[in-house]
Amino acid sequence: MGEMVPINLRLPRELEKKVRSISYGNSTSPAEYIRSSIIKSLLKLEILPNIALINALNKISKRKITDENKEIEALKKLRERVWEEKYGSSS
Amino acid sequence: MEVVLDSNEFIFGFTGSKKACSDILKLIGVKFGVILPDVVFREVFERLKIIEGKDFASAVRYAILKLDIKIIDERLVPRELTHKYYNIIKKRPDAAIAAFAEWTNAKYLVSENRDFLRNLKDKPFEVLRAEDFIRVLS
Repeated sequence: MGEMVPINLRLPRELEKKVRSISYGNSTSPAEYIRSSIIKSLLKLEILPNIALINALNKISKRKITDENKEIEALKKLRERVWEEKYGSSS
Repeated sequence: MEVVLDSNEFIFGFTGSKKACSDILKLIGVKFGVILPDVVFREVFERLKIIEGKDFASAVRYAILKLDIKIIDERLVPRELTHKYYNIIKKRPDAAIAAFAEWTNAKYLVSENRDFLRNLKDKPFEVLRAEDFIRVLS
């Protein structure tokens, strides 16, 4: 996690009431709700390099997995194989 | 907050096959950090080599390192801890990953694998599927 950036924010009264009502309804504090909202907005703007990286890889991926269960079963078998290659079958 | 992601999260996330998994990858370093056992890192690479080809797998390997994901050899986990989980799960690799999650004080282990979800209740870490983990983060 990066550095802490303190922000002072004065909201219009009606907006403050709305934020309090939504945040307490979600069992979180108004400050955490605003922090989450800022992060979501920044993510939507795609200014974080992670997002560009993941989106780029998603675009160039040639195979979308449609059968989730089949993929999980394949990964289970692969796990056993990778484990054996690393540790031998006696471990 | 540190989290362990299972290999299926990376496979679904990097291929764009499951939105919740891609979203989790985008939030690494923003809302949480990821620690990965070496064996999971190897699985991701090997599986992507098979389904996407070596170039894509190498690109993902680069991405994992660029995302500042900490990769730790699961051999460092104390044996007694792995034995404890083996008594519950009965599969050595899965037991090693669960023990790794506890040993690294991870708060969550995120996986689409129902065996993990079923067998690992009431542990120091919580096991969640991607959609549920995204809900926790929001």
